[in-house]
Amino acid sequence: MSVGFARLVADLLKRNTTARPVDLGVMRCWVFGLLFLHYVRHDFAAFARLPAVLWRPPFWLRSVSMEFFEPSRVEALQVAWLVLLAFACIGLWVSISGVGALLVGVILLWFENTIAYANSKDVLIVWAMYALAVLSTPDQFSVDHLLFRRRFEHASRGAMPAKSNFLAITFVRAMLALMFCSAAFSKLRASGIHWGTNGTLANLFVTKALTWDRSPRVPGLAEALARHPMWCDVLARGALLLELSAPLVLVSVWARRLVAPALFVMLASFWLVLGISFPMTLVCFVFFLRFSDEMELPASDRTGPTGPPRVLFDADSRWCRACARFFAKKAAAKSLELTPTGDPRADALLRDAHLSWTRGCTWLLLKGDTAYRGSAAFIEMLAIMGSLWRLGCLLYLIPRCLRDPLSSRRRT
Amino acid sequence: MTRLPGPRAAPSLFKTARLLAFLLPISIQSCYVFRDADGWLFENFSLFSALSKSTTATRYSIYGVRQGDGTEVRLDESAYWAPLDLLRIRAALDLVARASKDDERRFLVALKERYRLNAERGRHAGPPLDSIRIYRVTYDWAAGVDRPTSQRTLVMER
Repeated sequence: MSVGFARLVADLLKRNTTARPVDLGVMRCWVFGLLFLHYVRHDFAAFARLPAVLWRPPFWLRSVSMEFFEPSRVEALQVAWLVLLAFACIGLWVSISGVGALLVGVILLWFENTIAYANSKDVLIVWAMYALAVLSTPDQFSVDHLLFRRRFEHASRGAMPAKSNFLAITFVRAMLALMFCSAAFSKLRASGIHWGTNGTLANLFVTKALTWDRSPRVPGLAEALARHPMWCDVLARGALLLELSAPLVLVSVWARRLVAPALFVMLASFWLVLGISFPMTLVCFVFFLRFSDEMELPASDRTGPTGPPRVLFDADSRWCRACARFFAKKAAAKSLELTPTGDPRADALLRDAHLSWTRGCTWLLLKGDTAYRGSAAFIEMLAIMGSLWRLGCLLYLIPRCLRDPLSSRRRT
Repeated sequence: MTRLPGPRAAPSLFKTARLLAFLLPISIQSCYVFRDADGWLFENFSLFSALSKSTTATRYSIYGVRQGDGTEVRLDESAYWAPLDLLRIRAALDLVARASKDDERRFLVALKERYRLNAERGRHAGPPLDSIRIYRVTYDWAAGVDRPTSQRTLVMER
């Protein structure tokens, strides 16, 4: 029994430990970058100008006076936060800027949420910052990587980065799953199953429509839904079931593919129908995306750090052939070995590397001890070209699920 | 030959600290799944969890009195008050209504100043205001969603 359980746990961990070094870097760019954009015009000092009667700190911080947060001090903190967010986004001194952004961000967001009432909108993004600043190691997708190359070469040889990346990503997913699960349990605790059978959601739609919170939403949608209480009950039960099934994203790849997008759509629909927006919580769904596509090669097929990178490309694609010709011409000095599919050398290479050429795949790059597939291989080839071509790495910011179909659609 | 504990102890301590940093927030939030308590960072996200069968709802509504003609314009839109949102303003109105008249006055002055600043920054195209009025409005849709009625009472003005 215990052996079976241990095997199950090991299998789950193996299936979930797929964090790539580039992935976490791209996630860091998205999270800190979008935080910067979201808060660049936000005026935290406005809260410091409100009457002190609205100050509602938790009981263990009652000794702190609201006067501590005088407007000029809050403005200075906000400027510092924006600078730290910008540094953390591009990955400059990422360990310091990440932790700094987390600390200053927590102070500012906490201060805002002690005025009149606490809003749960910002909670998950704080945990995302925490995961990126505290639980992850410096990543490959950063300015630091360009400036302090040697430090990263040492780091990449150990297993630690992969494990800590896995911890950081799993942490945000776990907090997100717990958030939805808590919401479902609080509904069941406060209202029981009647929350989904009693027209509560229809009533919520009417209230929102009538009280005319002119927040951005699709006009008339809440009113239209409220006219059909039965549909609203079905929607409510669906939402409850979805919230309860959120923890599945931690254990099953298939659940992650179904439940995570469904939760995203549910949150986005709160915005569209009710005008209740959770922009920074939506950003946290970036932790469910994949950006790179790489795998470690078996020891027998490694090109070695000094060996020439080998590229396989789809010979049936006119776009691939044109790119291969371009790369062959431009990257002659880099000794890039370009082999079209169908060539006997390509079959031998795939066999040795224990890889298969999947349908729709257009590129495969074997470099050192790593194989890159699809659009990730193309981006790595741009990086090999050097100089300004390295900027092609910014294509990693596009999620793989969008990037790969785009590159494979360009076939003859 | 004995191995010195120093160089190996540091990474192990680092790993333990990282694991604790991973497990501690998850454990605390897990407790909140079964607790009926809301805070900030750790909470049970109880928004809209209460059963709602009533066909009436009461809310504060913000109106502005235009300079010149003195007509009223409804201002229940967050763009007028950013970064304050309507939920926060309504919670704040509840608090100041229970506090002193002086707090009430100070809050309405702050609101008016925010309206003016946001207009200056081009965040809204609302008219210049003489004063701000806060009404307590009760909506009733017992006769149907398409035939709601409302009653309002002036509670604050500045």
